[in-house]
Amino acid sequence: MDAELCFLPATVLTEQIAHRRVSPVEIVTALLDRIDRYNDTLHSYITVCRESALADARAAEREIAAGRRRGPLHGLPIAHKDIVFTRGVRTTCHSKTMLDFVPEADATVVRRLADAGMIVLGKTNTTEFAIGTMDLFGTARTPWGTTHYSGGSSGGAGNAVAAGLAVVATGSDTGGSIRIPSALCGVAGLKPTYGRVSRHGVFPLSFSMDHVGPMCRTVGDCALVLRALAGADPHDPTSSGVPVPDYTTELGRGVKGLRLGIPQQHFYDQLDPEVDRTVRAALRQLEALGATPVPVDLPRATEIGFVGWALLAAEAYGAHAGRLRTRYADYGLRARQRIAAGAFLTAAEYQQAAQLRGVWTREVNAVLARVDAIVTPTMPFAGIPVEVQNRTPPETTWGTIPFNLTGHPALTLPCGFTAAGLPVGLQLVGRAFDEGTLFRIGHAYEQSTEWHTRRPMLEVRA
Amino acid sequence: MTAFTKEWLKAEAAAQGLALTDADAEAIFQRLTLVKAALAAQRVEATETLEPPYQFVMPAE
Repeated sequence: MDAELCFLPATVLTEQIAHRRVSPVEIVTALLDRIDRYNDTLHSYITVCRESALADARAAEREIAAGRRRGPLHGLPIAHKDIVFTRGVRTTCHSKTMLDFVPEADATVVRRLADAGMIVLGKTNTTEFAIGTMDLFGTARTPWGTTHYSGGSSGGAGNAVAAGLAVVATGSDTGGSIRIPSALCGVAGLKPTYGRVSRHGVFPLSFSMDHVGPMCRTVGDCALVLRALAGADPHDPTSSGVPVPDYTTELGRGVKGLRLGIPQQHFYDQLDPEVDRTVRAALRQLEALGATPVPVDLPRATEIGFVGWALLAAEAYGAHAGRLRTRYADYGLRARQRIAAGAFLTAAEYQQAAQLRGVWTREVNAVLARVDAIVTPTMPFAGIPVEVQNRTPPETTWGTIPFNLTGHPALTLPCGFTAAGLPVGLQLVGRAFDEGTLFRIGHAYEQSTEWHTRRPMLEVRA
Repeated sequence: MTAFTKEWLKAEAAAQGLALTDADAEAIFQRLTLVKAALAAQRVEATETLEPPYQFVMPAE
């Protein structure tokens, strides 16, 4: 029964809490038991907040019993990526340089979810500074095959949700770091529109491409959590004042009449054959549900990844220059090489990249003026063996970084599995601040398939 | 404009106070050679436009 509880979506758990069929203490206890059992195998968490989570769960239980339920998230646990600042709880960024860092204040997203009544379960594994490796606390693995990498950088968040070690998690996404681990772990993950969710208190990587968003068991859970996360924040001048709708009202509207753009360049080129078959089956399913596929041209897509890489490196170096000068040897090999590369790009090249970003954004906006969403595979292949990831990591941001550049919202959800049992992700990209349409499409697809109900078979590693 | 060479990269690293190892310098040089070439190949013909080049935050409809 306890394991069953750990795999229920937040939208179900909230109803059960509201009707007193389950208590926050039961949920937190069940999750802590699974963390005890599987964290050494999956490397999901860097820090587990056992005592405070249980205390907060008891407090939530008392408040709800006294008729003071704050809303649908009250009493539900949340796991935060370990680059998200949590007051009084160590925040390492998976870096030797921050092993003892305990923030004095919460990130805005932490505070907002706490105000909504969520209980911090722990801090999830991330690549070093969301760009390097996972050398200090172990490489996170997908629960669908623990010889395979979870994806990064929000790998601990992805595998924790997939394996029933978390109900909901926060992630950050600069080149695909929410969507890639969500795809490789078989969960739903949203990179919201740039400005939709505050980044205050989240260790920066690339200020113009960093996004914070939810990683959840279902699309409906993402919709539920985004409403609490989103909105203007005086501490983040890049956050937007665009009103935050109740995204859950979009969920049941179906896809009939919606036009879905299918790019004719880049995104469907050179796919692993199993990914190709799986994604095309998902497109046929969406068409069967009433959506209309529309071929669209995005000719710059193939080359735009370099632009993203240049901006990311330059901005990451801007964020890390001081620390790199004083603690260079304490950075892992991959993190320091990727970040330090930004020191050698010229101002003219940065400006060139910014101009190309503008051209690319207009290209995507022109397509989204004709269709309601763009549909692509999230990744061109389905799995990465851990030893390959640690030795010669493949390029994974191929389908994701184009939309970090533009700021458009992008949702990934599972759309099938390979013969080896590894999940495949489908990416939906929408108009700015139109996350609602992505939830609408994703939920309709999800309800007509069973991928999101599958559970990984886990074994404890010796 | 200064040519992008390994020697320039190492000198610039020293000027910026970065303790690059030889392996770091080699890896960064290889990567940046590709990136710089890709940026140059895509050069925007008109650098002066009426719009700010930094157009990635779009208004809600």
